[in-house]
Amino acid sequence: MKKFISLLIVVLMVTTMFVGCSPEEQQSEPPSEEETPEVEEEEVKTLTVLNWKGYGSDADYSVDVFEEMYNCKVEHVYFTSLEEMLTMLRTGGLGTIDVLLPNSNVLLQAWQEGLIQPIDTSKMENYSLLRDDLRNFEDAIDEEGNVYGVPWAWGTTSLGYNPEVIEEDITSWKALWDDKYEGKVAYFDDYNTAILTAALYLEEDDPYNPDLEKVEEALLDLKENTRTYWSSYDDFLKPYGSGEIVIGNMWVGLASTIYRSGDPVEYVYPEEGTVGWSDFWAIATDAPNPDLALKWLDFMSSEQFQTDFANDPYGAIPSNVNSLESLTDDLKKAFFIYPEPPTNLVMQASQDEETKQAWLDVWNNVKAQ
Amino acid sequence: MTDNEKPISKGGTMILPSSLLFLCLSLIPLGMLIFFSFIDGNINMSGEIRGFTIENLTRMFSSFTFTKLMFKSVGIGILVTVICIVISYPTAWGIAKVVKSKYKNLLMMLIIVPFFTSQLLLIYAIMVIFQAKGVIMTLLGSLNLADSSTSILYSNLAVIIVLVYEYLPYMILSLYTSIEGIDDNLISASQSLGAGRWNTFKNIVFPMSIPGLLSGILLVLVPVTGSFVEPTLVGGPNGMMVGSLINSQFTVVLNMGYGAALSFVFLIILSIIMAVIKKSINSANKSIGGME
Amino acid sequence: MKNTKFNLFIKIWLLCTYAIIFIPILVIIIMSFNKTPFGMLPFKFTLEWYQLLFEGSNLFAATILSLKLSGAVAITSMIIGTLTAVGAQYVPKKVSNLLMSVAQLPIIIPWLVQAIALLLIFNLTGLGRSYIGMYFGNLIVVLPYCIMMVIARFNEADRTPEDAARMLGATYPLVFKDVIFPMLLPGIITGGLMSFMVSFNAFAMQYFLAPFGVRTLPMEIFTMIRVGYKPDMNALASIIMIITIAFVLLLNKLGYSASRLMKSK
Repeated sequence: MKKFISLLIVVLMVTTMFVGCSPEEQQSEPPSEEETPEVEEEEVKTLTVLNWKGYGSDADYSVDVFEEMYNCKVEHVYFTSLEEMLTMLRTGGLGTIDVLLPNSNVLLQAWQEGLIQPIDTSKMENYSLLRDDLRNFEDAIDEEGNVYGVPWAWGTTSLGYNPEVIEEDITSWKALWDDKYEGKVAYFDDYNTAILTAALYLEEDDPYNPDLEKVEEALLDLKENTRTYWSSYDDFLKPYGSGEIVIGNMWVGLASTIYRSGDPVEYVYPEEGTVGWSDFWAIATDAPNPDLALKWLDFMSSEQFQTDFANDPYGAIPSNVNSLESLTDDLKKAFFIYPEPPTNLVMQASQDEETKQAWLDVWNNVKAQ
Repeated sequence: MTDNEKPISKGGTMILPSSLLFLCLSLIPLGMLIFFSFIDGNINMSGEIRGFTIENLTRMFSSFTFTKLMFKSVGIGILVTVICIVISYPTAWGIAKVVKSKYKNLLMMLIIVPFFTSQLLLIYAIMVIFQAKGVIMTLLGSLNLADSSTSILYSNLAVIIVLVYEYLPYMILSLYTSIEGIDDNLISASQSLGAGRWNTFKNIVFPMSIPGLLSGILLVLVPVTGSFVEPTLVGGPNGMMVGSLINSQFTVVLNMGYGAALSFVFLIILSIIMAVIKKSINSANKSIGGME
Repeated sequence: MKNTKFNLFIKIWLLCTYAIIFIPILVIIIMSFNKTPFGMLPFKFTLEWYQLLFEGSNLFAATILSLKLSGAVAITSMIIGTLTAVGAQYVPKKVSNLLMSVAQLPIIIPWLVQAIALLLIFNLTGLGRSYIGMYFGNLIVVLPYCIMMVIARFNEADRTPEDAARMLGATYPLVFKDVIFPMLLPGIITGGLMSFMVSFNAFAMQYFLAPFGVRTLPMEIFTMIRVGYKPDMNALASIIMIITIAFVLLLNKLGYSASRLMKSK
C-alpha cells in the first residue's frame, strides 16, 4: 500500500514538473531582473504591451518594424475588457507591463489610481503632430500639466443602417426608436455608450448627467425594437449580413469594415450629437523599460504606423494630422470622415465610482427586464 | 503490517491530497468571498478597506433585478437539465448495455471530441446552422413553416438549444458511469421473473443510476444557471441571465464587494436547490419502491 | 429475443444523438473551406484559412500548451480523484460527507470569482501569475468531476467480491488491483475525459492565472472579442477534431486487438 501511494506521489511530482517545464515553446517570459550598469553588451530587451487583440499594435507592420528599429522583442498581453486591463495592473502587472491602451473612458481613473506614470512628451518627435483637441483632452492632463496619455486611434459610435433596405435618409437617433424598424435594431452592449446615446436621443442638456429615470424608460422602449445587443465586430456583422438587423449604433470601424468589403452601409452623424471616443497610449507605473516605452509611444504616433493602421481592414482613424491628410478620399469615405471629420462629438470620459455603478445598474436593469 | 484489516487509517491518508487542495484552493477563496461580501466597494491597491457594510446584500434585493434574474436562470437551468436527462438516459443505456462492448470506450470518447475545440466555436457553428437564410431556416421556409428571413436566434429558445448542446456530454457520461455498473444478471433476472420494461426501470435501473443522475444534475444545472457567454451571444435583448450580472461587477466596473455578495448568495441558493433535488429524488425512489 | 424492438429503438436514439452532437462539427469543417465569412452562403472553396493558420497564427503554440496543460491536469485529477473516492469509503461517514460537500464548491462558485480569488492568494504568497498557479487553478475546478465519477461507481457496485477476496487472504494492494480498480475503471476514465474537457475550455482560470504573454487556446479565442474571430480558427478546429477522431479510432482498434491478444493467451 505504501509503495503504491509513493508511486502515485512520484507520478504526481513528475506531472507537475512536466507542466512547469513547458516554457520552451512559449515566448520568453518578461524580464524581472534589474539591469546592471555596464552597458557594453546589448541585451535584447522585451517590451510588454497591454492591448486588445488584433487592434493594430500586434500586426506585422507594427511589431516587426519596431523590433527591427530598436533591436528588441515585443510581447503582447491581451484583455477582454477595459476594467480587466486595469485589474491586470492592479494584481501584479505593475513592474511587468510597459505600455497599455486605456481609452477616454478610463484614462482619468488609471492615473488617479496610480497605475500609469506621466509621459515626457518633449522627448517624443511625433507628439506635436497629433490632433490638438485629442492631445488636450481633459482627462489626459493633470493640473500641473503632466501628460498621462498620448492619443492614438479615435472614432465615433454613431448610427449606421443598410441603405438598400432603408430608403429614406436618416438624420436622427429617433430612427432607432421608430416602430418601422421593430425587431431589426442592434444596440451596443456597453453601459456607457448605451446611456450616452439615450441621453442624446432625449436631448438632455448634459449628456454626462442625464435624468437616469428617463434614460431607463427610453432604453426599455428601445428594447422592444432591438433584435440583439452586440459586443464585437462579429456579433454585429453576422445578423447584418443575414438581414436580421438593418439599423443600429456601431463603431466607425465596423461601418468601415462593411463598406470596404463592398456591402451596403450608410453611417451618419445624427443631429442630436454623436458619441466619440479615443484610445490613448500610456506608460505603466514601474514599467521595466521606460525609455523603450517612450519610443513605442512615439512609434505608435508616427505617420508611418498610423497610415498603415488606417489601411488595415480592421483599422481606425488616425490622430496624426499628417496621416489624416494623407488618407485617400476613398479611405476617408470608408471612415466616413469625408470631407471633414464630424464635430458635435460627445466624448466618452471617466466617471467617478458611484456614477459608474449607477449607470451600470440602469443598464443591467434594462437588460434584465 | 496489518494489510488484511480494513484500512481505515489508510483512508485518512488517501483523502489527504485532495483535502489539502480543497482547503487551500477552495475553502480559503470561499472565506475571501464571504469576507468581501461585506466590504464597502473595493479594496484599493495597498489592500486597504474602506469599511464594512451590509449594503451589498440589501442592494441586491432592493431592486428586483437580481431576484428576477435568479428565478429566470434557475428556470432555464432546470429546463436544460431535464432535456439533457431525457436525451441522455436512452443514450447512456445504449452505450452501456446495447452496443457491443468493443465500441463502448470509442463511443464515450467520441462524445467529447466536439469539446476539443473551443466552446465559442461550437456556439458560432450552432448560430450558423440556425441563422436567417441559413440551412435550417431555408428548409423551414420552403416547407412554409417559417419565414426564412428571420430566425430563432437572439431568443431564450436559442440559449436553451445552445446550452443543451454544450452540457449534454456531462449528463451522458455521468449516467453512463452508473448504468454501466448495473449487473446484467439483475436485469435479465427481473425480466425473466415477468417484470416489464417499466418495472425493471423503476425498481432496478433507476435506483442504481441515482448517483450518476445526481452528479449529472449537479454538473449541468449549476454551470447552466450561472452561464453568461451563451445568453450574451445568442440570447437577444431579453436573454440576460444572472451570470452576466455577476460577471459585469468584475469586468465592467470593479465592484468586488457587490460581485462577491452576488456570488455568495448565488452559491447559497444553488446549494439549497441541489439539496432539495437530492432529497426529492431519493424520496421519490423510496416511494416507488426502488432499492436503496 | 424480447428486447429486439426496444434495442432497435435505442440504437436509433443513439444514432440521432451522435448525429446532433456532430452536426456542428461538420459545419465547422465545411466553414473552414468557405471564403465567405460567418458561414454565409454562397460557398466559395478556399484554402486560405489553412494557409493563414500555418503562416501567421499563434494558434498552434496555444493549442499545444492547452493540450499539455489539460493532459497534466486530467491525469492528476484521475489519480487524486480515485484516491479520494477510495479513501472516502474508509473514513467515518461524517468526514466523507463533509469532504463531498466541499468537493462541490469549485462547481458552485462561479469560476470568474474563483479565478480572481486564487490570483489574489497567489499574489499574497509571492507566487503570482505562473504555470504552477494556472495548473493548480485548473486542477481544483476539475477535481470534483473525477471524484464524483469514481464515487458513483462505488455506490451501486457490489462489495462482495472485495470482501470475498479479502477473506480469502489477499492483501489490500492485490484486492485493489484485481477487484476494486477494474470496478472503478469506467468512472476513472469518464472522470478523466470530463476533466480534460473542462480544463481545455477553462478560460477564466487561465486568463487570470497565466503568466503575462502566455496564452492557451481559449485565451487566444476569447480575446478576439473586439475584432471578432477570424476564420482560421475554423481551420484549427477542423484539424484538431480530425486528428482526435482518427486517434480515438486508432486507439480503439489497438486496444481491442491488444485485449483480444491477451485473452487468447
